[in-house]
Amino acid sequence: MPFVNLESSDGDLVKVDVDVIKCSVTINALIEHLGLEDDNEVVPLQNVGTETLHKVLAWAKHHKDDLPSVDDDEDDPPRERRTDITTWDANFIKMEQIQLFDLILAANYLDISGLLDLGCKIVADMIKGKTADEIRTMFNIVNDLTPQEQEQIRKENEWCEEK
Amino acid sequence: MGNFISGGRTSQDTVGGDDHRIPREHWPNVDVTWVDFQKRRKSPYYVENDQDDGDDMGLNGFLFPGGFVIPDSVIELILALVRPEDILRCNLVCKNWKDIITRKSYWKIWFDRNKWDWNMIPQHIKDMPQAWIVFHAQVRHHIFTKNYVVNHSGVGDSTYKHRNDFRNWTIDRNGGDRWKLETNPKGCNPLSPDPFFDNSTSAWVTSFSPCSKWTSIDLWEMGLTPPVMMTCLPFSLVCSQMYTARFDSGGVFTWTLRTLDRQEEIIHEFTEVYELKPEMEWQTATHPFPFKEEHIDNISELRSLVFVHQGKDDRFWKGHYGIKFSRSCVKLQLDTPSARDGDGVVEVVDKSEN
Repeated sequence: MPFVNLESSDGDLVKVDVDVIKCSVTINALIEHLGLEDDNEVVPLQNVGTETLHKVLAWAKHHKDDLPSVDDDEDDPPRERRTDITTWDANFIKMEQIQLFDLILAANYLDISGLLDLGCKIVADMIKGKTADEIRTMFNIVNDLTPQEQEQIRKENEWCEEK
Repeated sequence: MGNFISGGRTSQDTVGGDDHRIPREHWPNVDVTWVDFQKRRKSPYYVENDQDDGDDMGLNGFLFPGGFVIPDSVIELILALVRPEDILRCNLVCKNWKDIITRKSYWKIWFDRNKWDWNMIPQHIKDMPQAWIVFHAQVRHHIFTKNYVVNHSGVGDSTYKHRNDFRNWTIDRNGGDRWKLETNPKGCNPLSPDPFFDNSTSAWVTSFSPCSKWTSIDLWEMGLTPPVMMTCLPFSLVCSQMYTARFDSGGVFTWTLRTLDRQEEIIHEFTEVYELKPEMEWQTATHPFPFKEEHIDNISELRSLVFVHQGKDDRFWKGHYGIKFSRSCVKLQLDTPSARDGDGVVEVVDKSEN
């Protein structure tokens, strides 16, 4: 079984079964591009820290045998986004917000759609039922909308719902 | 040099080579603990926020205490995974979120995930600045893909004892042996299951004296608010009704459709009488109410649609030998704009206060 060495942004090397990390479009492309044949060659990942990399690999290992997302190139059908979360995933994703976002960003960079969906779904669930104010507080987002803009948005929102 | 324990530091100390502390004025302008701060610094996505102009805030939108940069494509995905009823709160969060929710690429994610054809929305609508309210109406209320008649065939769960076959309908006339629901209509051809009609094969049947009932559709409540309707022009509300007689008895079917304004005054009325000989074949009656660009000034008056069907047999036989009805339907159909090649931008005027 071929292995590949991944180098985190912290400079740590992690040896991984290529089969485990095949879910990452980015790593597949890097392996192909770099033409790695030797088990000892290194794929540098400037955007993923060691802690996050280990989490990504834990997820990838668990989902190693998942059926690949349907890839019918013929009609280029819309990619179906999974919205249900398994118990394993739910337990896996229980982490601090800061780590969750690190993981989402890593999944985005590594192009692992299943993991990206999982992370984004968790964030979307946090938004459930919250007011704009509560969302801003939760994610520490600066409200950069002028009162006039907010007024305009409120008006447009009223166009959508009959009160 | 650099001995800060002693206090009384001079200006020389601060520029000392071995003082690694970050000067206070360069601290990120947020309230975080030191542990949090260190953790965040380790993230490769950390951006040193040492500029006072706050430029990167507007770019980011999702600004975390440590200054994470979340790419727009990721925010787009997150906002496409919220519940439809949460969207109208998310667009009030910040400029960037509002921009994303106004963008076509964002709504296309919703369409793709639901397997709705993105091309069902014509280009002239997509090009309008307020097009997002139409996409939203589809995501939230399925305005283009639903049957506005909630109870189209008396769909009931036969295992449920107290089912209401006439839910959402008001019975006007209950002549002869009264209205009845036939789960498998008798004396006529069977209906083939259709997923759009919940695979139901049932039909309402009338008797020897007229039976009639009506249902009223509040278009605004169903997601077709005046601004959404204005943006969708030209469109038609296409009404249809499946009906049949029996092999041993004909009958009479009277179909009435009305559009009403907000004061419940009739805007348009359509009535048609169909006399049927004995027959088993199901037929479909169709009537569209077209609304064109020139109706833009009056469209906000359109509030509801009333759907009435009445039937009876022509033999005057005891029992249920009258006309049968199934799959009552009202659908929104987008029409091709008239040849006049304007820029397609329609000014939406909010008249709801008048």
